[in-house]
Amino acid sequence: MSELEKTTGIVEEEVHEEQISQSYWALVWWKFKKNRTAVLGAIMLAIFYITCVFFAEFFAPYPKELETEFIEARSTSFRFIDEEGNFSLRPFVYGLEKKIDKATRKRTFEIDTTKKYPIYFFVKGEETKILGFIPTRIHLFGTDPNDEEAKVFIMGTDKLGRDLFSRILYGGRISMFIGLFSVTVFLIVGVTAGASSGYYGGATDIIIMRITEFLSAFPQEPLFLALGAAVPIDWPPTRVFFMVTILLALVQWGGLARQVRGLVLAGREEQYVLAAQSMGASDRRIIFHHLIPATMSHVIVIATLKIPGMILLETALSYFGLGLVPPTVSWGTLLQDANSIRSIRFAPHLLWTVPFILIAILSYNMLGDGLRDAMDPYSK
Amino acid sequence: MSEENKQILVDVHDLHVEFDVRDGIVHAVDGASFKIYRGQTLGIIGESGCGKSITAKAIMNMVPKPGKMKGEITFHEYSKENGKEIEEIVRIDALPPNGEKIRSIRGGHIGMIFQEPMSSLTPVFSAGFHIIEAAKLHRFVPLDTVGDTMTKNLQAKRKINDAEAREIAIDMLKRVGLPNPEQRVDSYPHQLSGGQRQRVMIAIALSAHPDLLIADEPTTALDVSIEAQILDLMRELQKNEDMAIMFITHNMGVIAEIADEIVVMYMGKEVERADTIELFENPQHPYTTSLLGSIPQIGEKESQLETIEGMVPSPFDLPPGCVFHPRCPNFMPGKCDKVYPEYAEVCEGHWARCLLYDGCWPQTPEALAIKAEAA
Amino acid sequence: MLSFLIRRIFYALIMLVVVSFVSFIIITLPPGDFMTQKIAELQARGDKSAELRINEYRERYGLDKPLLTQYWLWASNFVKGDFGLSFEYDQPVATLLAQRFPLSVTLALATTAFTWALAIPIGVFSAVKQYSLGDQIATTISFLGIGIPPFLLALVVLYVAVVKLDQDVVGLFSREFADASWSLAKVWDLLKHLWVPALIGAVTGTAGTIRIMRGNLLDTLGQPFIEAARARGLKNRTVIWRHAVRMAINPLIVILGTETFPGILAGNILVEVVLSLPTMGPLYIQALLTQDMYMAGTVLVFITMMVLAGAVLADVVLAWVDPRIRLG
Repeated sequence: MSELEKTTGIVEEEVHEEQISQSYWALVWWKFKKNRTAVLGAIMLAIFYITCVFFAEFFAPYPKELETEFIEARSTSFRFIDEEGNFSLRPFVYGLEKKIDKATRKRTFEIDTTKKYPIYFFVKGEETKILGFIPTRIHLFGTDPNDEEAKVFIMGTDKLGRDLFSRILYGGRISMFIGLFSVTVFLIVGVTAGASSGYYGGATDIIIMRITEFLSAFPQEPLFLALGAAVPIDWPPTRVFFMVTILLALVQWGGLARQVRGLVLAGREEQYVLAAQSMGASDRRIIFHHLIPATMSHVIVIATLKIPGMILLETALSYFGLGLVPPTVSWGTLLQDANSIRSIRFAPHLLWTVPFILIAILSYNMLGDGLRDAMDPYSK
Repeated sequence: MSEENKQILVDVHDLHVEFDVRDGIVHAVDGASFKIYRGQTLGIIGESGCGKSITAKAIMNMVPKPGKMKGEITFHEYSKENGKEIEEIVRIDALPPNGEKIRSIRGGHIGMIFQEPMSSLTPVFSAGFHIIEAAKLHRFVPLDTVGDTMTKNLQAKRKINDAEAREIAIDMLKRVGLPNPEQRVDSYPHQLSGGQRQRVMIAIALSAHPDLLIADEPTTALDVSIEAQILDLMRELQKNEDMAIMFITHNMGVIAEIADEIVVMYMGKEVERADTIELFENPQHPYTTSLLGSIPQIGEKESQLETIEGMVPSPFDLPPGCVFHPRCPNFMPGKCDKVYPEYAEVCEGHWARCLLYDGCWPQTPEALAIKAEAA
Repeated sequence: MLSFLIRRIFYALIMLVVVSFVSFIIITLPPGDFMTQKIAELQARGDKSAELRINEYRERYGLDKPLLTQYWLWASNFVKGDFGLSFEYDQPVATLLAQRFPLSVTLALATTAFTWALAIPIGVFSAVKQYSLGDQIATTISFLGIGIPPFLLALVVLYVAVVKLDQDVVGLFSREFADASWSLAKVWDLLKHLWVPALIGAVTGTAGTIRIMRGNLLDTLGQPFIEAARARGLKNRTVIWRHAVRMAINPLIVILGTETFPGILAGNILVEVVLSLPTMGPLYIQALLTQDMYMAGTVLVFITMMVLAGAVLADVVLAWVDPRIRLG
């Protein structure tokens, strides 16, 4: 034992202090991983992006324009056990048969148990190009390509006999893209405006703040709808797409600018800014290299939480027949088919778009909340 | 205040308050025992975080969650019935924390004033409102009786109404020395100065004529001149109302002025208790001596301010034996770091917790062995 | 206090003027002259006086004059109560809005009332019984609620009502009362129908308000004056409702005016369309689709007016309720 130990009886313990020095982002990632809801949101979004945005052609059994004779048919779902109780490992669907109700003169499609169409996976279907340039004929699932009559509509069809599930996937591509693009524009405009306003002060500040104040007096949705209605109908879809994107950002950047301005005002007085200035750094460098990165954590959270709102605004716009219109496929235009009591009563399957939108929005919210908690230095 | 008149008001016996937090258990109060007598002022002194405020809250059964209170707190409730004085003994620690009984004691028999008068008043209510609220809760007026003989034995009481309450409020503000009480009664906290707010707090606490006023660092946030005024006011009110005061502070100068008896606390433990004069002339515990030594004296030239060596230890990492030993000028190696001293009466009416005094050694074989070995 | 009020109203009026100007410009943006189209349409139907009438309107509203003049004519007529003509319905906008505007206001107020009536008690409960099962449930529900947009919820409700329950939840009145004049019975009928859209519209606001109320109350409960109130012997319930909630609610009043109410107004438009309510929303969308500019412009100004009124009202209520603001 040591000298100290002998005289006083005190045993010196070897204290292992593991000095883990982590970068801010490593800490954020670690905290984020612990939040199960956030991770769930991230996973669901990843699923959406894979199935709708990137590989819709693979996951969708049919192209979005393909019309069939089965108009407003109910969904045909996968079954494993047939009428006689035979179990087959390979799922199958029943066919549809046209029935005309003599009394009401309505045409409906009923399940026809005489026609069984087995489902094959990784089946050869219509020729498409993944991401627009990779040609393929393979789809995730489908019916026997050699059987002309065999069709599988897991979410039913619309009034032109088009498979709704496929159209939802393709529509998701547009809707999610719009969300992402408009948020990017929103970020660029909002952050630049807010940072300039906060850093330069004076006239710049007054002008920008007046503009945002004025914008905030307008109720957002009606304004956006009015602007959306101003988009000429005869424009090509891509131009409309970009216009809608810009409008979405235009209507909302005010709030972000004000927040960034607040952050920059606070950051401007920090020591490191004064130090940079005294070393002769240009204004632009200070703003872009020092102040804006300091606001990044707040800005990212705000942006992520804005995306669902933007998707929703676009959906509402197309639902009303403004902005993107058929034949463009977005979740909003798909919902348009379900906008009357008549459709809801007789073809309720057309509302299948709604859960997709809800889940996408929910996932973004979960992700955004998780990011916010992870970036907050004071949370547990 | 003569010896014979000493009627006991609050009896605190072996009070423990524990907080079970994520990093461990904190013993905020570790075995406090003292008595408060009617009309007497008990001072409690110690550094920040030594458990003084929690002791006060424990007496009111207001220990904040997740704190747990153990021990006995007895309150002697004196009331007049039929001209006779009745004493009712209430075990405060046994009362449900939100029950009717404890709530009649809180604000009624025991009043409390706090350190920050600004944040202790609800900003949206006027000064008068606070007093009226308290008065309507605790003040009673005998029911006007018609037939005397029948109802003479029935001391029926009713609560006061709004008009009476307002009169009481104005009267209380006058008594605490607030100028223009008729106008001030409708003032809001943000319209009053610090000293005025503290007077309002005292008015609120006194509106029910409590037997005990607990003052938790009431003058710490005030200027020295205002502090003097408030202390004068408290002394005067105490005399007029025959009220006991439990005065908590970390300022030795203030406590010397106002207290009759002083309790010194360190890390949740009582380390010394004595009458004020006895404590100042004859401090027995090294901590008290150090505290007294650190009071700057006007007129005396010293080269340095005397401080107590070392720092207050972390509550999760308390030193073994006597908790004060790492900072103690009278540290006895081999004894103070091994044995936890008991609280014992070192001289008459004077208690201390220090191994310097034989009476403080616990009567356990291990402790006695250590005492013998080191001798 | 009075000067404060006057200043706010004055400022709001200026905003309103600017907004109306911009609205007007936006509404006239879509290319194409509604007039020529309308004339062609009417003539095809054999309406010979159409051209005369429309030329008269051209005169009155200066449709072939520069934009600024058009706006000026419209604005000056607006303050006199003449909001222009709806080309689609061939009726003055004022007539069409006469019924619809009050109903919109009623719906918005009802939705706001629902929001607060639900959110405040739940928020208080959540804060007081923090981490209890009830709190966790409330937190989860409010989390979901924020994510569900009212217009999709309206679709779902419609689906459930029509398909599963075979109920008719469309509109605000039963058939008998739709065009009847006002009577107590009609008011009762309105109330019976009003709660569905009001509840739907309240979902998002409630969720957000619950979270804010909970957060505010938790902060407030940690403040010294709460402990001081307890030390005076007040009942727990009194401490919470008379002192804590009273203080915690102040920021919520501001939020009511700046976020909750405008959110309800804007969101309700979509719900109104889905449920085919006789309010301004469906009229607005229709006007946008058919480029019925005076109708659309007027509705936009009206909605903005409601938003600004809500903000001013919230400020006034806050000043009335908080003496620190009132007396400085």
